[in-house]
Amino acid sequence: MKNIGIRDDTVRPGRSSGGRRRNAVFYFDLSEALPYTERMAKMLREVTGTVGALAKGFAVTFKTMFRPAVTENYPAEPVHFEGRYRGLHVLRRDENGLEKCVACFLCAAACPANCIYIEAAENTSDHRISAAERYAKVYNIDYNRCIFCGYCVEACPCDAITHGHGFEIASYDMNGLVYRKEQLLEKPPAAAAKP
Amino acid sequence: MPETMTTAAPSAVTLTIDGKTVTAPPGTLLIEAAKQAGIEVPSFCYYPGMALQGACRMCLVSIEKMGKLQTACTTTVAPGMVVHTENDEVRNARKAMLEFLLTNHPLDCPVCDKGGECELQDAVFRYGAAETRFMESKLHHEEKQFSKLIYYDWPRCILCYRCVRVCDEIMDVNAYGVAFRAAHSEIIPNRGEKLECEECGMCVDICPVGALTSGTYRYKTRPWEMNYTGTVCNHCGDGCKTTLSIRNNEIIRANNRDHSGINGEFLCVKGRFGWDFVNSQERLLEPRVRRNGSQAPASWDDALGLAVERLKAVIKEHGRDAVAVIGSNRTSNEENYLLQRLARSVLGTNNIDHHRTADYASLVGALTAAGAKDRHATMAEIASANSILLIGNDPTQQHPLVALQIREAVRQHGAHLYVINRNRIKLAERQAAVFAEVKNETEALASLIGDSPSGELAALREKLQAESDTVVIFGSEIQGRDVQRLVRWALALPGRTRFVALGDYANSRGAADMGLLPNTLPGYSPVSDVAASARFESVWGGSIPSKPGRNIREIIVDIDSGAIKALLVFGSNPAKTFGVSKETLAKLSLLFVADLFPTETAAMADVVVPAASFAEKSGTVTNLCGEVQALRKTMRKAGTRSDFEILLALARLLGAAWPYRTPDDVLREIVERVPGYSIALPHLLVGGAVPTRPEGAPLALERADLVFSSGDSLFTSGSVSRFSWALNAPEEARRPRGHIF
Amino acid sequence: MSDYESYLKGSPLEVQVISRRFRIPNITSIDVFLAHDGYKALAKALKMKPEEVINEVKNSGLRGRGGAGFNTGMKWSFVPRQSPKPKYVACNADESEPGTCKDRPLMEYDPHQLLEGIAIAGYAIGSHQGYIYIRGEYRYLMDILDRAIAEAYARGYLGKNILGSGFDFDIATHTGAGAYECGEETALLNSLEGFRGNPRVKPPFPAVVGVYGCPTVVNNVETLSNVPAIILNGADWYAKLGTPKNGGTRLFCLSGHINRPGVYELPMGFPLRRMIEEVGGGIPGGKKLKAVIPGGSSCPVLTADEIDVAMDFDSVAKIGSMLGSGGVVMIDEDTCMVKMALRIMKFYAHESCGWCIPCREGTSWLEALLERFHSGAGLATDADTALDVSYNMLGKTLCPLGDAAALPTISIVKKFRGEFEEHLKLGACPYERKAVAVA
Repeated sequence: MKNIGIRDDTVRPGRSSGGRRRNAVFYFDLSEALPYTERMAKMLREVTGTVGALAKGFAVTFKTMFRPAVTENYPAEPVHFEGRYRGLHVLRRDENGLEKCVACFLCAAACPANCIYIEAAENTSDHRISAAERYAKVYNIDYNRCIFCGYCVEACPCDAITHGHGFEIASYDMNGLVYRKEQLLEKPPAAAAKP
Repeated sequence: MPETMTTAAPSAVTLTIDGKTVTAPPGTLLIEAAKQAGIEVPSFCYYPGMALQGACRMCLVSIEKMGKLQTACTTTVAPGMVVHTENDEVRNARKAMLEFLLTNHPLDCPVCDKGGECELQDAVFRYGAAETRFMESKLHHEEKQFSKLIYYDWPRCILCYRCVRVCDEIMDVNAYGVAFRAAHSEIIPNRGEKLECEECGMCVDICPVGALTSGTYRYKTRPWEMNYTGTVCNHCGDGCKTTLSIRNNEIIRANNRDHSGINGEFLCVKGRFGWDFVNSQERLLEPRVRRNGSQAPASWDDALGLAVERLKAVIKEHGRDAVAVIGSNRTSNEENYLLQRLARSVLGTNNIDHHRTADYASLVGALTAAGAKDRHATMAEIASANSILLIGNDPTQQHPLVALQIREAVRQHGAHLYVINRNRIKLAERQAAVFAEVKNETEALASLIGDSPSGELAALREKLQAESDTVVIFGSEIQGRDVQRLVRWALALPGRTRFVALGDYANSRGAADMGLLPNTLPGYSPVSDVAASARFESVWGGSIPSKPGRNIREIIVDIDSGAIKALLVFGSNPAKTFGVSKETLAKLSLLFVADLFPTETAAMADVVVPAASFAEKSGTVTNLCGEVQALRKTMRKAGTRSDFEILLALARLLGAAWPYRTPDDVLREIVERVPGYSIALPHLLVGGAVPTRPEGAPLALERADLVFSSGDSLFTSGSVSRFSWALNAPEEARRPRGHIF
Repeated sequence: MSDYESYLKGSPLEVQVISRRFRIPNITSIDVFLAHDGYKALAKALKMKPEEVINEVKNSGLRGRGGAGFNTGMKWSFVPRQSPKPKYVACNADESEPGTCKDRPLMEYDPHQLLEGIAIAGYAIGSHQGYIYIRGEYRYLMDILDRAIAEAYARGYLGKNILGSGFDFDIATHTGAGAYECGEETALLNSLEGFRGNPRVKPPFPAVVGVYGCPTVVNNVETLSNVPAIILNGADWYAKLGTPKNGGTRLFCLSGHINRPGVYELPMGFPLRRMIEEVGGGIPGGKKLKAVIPGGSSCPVLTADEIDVAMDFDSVAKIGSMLGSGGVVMIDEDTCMVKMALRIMKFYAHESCGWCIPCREGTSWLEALLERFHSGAGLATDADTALDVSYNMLGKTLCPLGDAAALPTISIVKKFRGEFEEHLKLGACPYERKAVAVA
């Protein structure tokens, strides 16, 4: 198949080379250099090759026509996610319903967009928020700035911050894109159990 | 290394550390010699200036021809020694020590306050012992609250005994001990369940891990989340450098871990915890103006406008001498300088004074007269003195850094301390070579320098006369002519005698230096001195009244008598300090107060404006040794203005065209115009303490009741401490003032 | 003296020098003591020059009986005589080494001999004050000693101008509070001064900076008790009792699985095998010997194959153990060596003072590890971990307690590795299982 196909015109003698494909043409090499039979054989080879390639390509097309569509019918139907999709963050709770976050600030330190803001406070015996000594009194993520890189999740030593699958946060109001802890936090187990 | 060979003493020891030739004086510890050669040997228990422990075994190094690894912190250099600090044997030993430490140490770094600045964490990162083979359950004891300000978390403690030693050896309080043994060893307060101490927090500061934590900083934030600014503590007159840690325009903690400044890492309870008045909810945040008998919020324009309107009216009606100004001993030099310029050249009166807590004018006058103006001791010179004479005051309570320097002089250099005091103060009990307990320091001084001193004073004088290079430290008990007598007598002692007068507050010295005195210009020249006046008139324009003004006692009397109609008060609380009654203050047409808090005086004011605290402005302050240091603006407080801005606004409204835009402009004028203040600005800018050499021939002290100390304790600081939680929370704050910890 | 017989059984093989008066009735009374050569050595020493006394002790080859085995005369000669500071003699009677009970009869049955030795030591180094630091658990011995001291004062053997020689010497007793660590000389000094019994950083050694910062000689009870005999009979006589460089006799405390446990005074260099078989009467029940601890719990154990050794400092050191404090503990074939290691480590984990990291954390780690291993929850890596942890402690601690804990563990893990494997394989202690099966 060395003389058939889309050929760059630059291989033609007398044309300047440069690898440009703009002027490519479809042609048969009918030069007189070869004997007739060889020329014909070559032409037939080129024709069958072309038909074969087309058939192969269309086979894929037809096969796919009878498969179910992968296109998500969003928003009419819910979106399907891969497990590791990095969506809106979720702050997790432990098995006792306490917040996992101990306000170590490592997510904020890891964040390349500097979009996490934390204020820490100390747990007391009658006001216990997390299992450790410290908890996040304020935990804000500024989704104007978040690039969903997942570094915060990587950095978290307590598996407290994870990526959920939320993504519908487009807004006309920038202020609304600063999510507070209450918005990010997983629901307490008791509340989750309610229908 | 030919340079080091030639500069070292002939008896210096030459040894090899990691292939580097190191020369050190004999007796140098290996760990220090390595440090000089730029080789860091890790250690937890070794701390310069404190007793050797050999406990943490982190500084093990291998020395050729010695069988076992040796601790670099207890081995002294020897000629020809060949030391390896980083070979495999040493690295493995260090890794083993860290593995041992981490067996019972909880890995709660994400929660621990020390995470990010923890020496154990750093060492583990360096030597990599994060993976443990320890399979057993870790020992655990519950956290203890040692005091309102100090907590102890046993599992995190690595028992380096730094806290025990710093409290015993450096603070001389000895509040900590060790209880139990083996893996259950624990740090305990020596006197009962709770700490009974000065609450200086040195133990928290020096703790290499998060075992001792601070009650004010605990679990608030993380070290990398804060901004750090080095400034000067605003409480007593010692002028400790403090590094404020700021987050969200709020001070979170103060320490001086970089050992910069005259105090090294030292801070007392006020410096380390007492900054919280800045964050107080009771701060004044908007101007208030008295209308129809009660104060109401007002705009800055209204408040200052009203003040200026009334001032102009008073001057028009009663003359310039019907106005008086009371300054502060906490505001910066620049502000004090501008305040007296406002009084002298804009308002045209010498009626300006402040609460004098030490008689600096007499000291400068006496030293100038004796031709010894360079005999002001610096803070460092106290610690290196051969002998120290302390008359009056109680530095342990009022000047913790001075007390520390005295203790270090005695402990590290074997200096002799001579104390003359009416009370059995702690320095007298613990450090003094001779203590003369007297009824009255003034009379004792007369006896000491008189012909026949009595009793202990005679012994004290005899011993003192055999000393050399004495530093004489005195409180407000010695004032006026007594200062002159003391200076004359002490200068005759052998060697270079130097002097320190103990003024109460951050800029007590600066207030006097900047001329917040009725009879003295900045730099201690009398107002009647035409040449000195001309020095300032040439830049200020106009003329300075040459008649001395009223001092603070006279101002108060004349408010009562009606001769003074307008009083401007900046950062002072005369109603409390001088007991001025409400009735007296009510007689004024204008009482203008600029302050941080609603004080007794501010409550009576016609116009109150909220001033900025030390953390919210820049400028310079002069400590009691005459060393100038820079205040740096670390944060902002919405609603407040610095006294600098307030003064500038007042001057503008009063029609004066002042050329200053920043406090630096004022400092440049001070450096140029005030005698003794021609200081090197680069040194100041990099955070140094620059000594000043003021000179002048001030008029004699007018009367005896002008100079007096507030008698603060470790937990009080004039009118400010009541707005601090940390200075009131500890149990110890309720002990009587003279209590010895 | 009710339990007299229980541990002073006596043996014809004994060479009694310091224990020669043990069986004399009422020997604690000074009159009886004086009738048996009492205080003659002191009188003789006071006529000698201090340097001569030191030389005599040095030449006798007397080596410290506390465990380290340092030449006593040499130790005395390190005290700077010219120092203007007062000098002290501290007698270490904090006998706490498991398996050792030799100082107790010395104080209980011949207290004056000790006082005499201390006074001679004081004279030799130019000291005027001696202290006897007694183990907290030996408080009852303090009464005996205090009574003896009072008698000695009354008769002029202590106090001012002893025997008209112009030499003044005082002795005071001081009790510890039951800490093994206070047997370490610098920890003893701390405790004596009233501080927590932590060891101090060495150098400076106590001979230069000891009690209250003054030069101090710290010697074991047995060491000092030997001094009068040396002075009285001469260095050569004493040296010849033992082997070269290991002068004299020594009190060996035989315990464990042995027929006649007790304290026996035997010459240095006495063969261990004869000690077990002839002096001690062999292992009870005709069982086989498995191992021997030759000098108190801090010494590496010897296997039954290694007992053909002369019991002197150098010979025992040559086979990788120590003569230590003379506590010889026999272990028979039915003993679990893992449990043995655990029992030893329990002691050290309890007695570590907690001052330095390797000992504080290492002992408690090993205790927990061996506890778990012995109970059957061991891992294949545990034996190696135990060995490695022990090596990490060895030679890296401030005082020898770390080594004392590490050495027996190392020797047990190395020499009885098979028992560790058995525990692993069975998931339980094979010996306990055997005991259950027998029952």
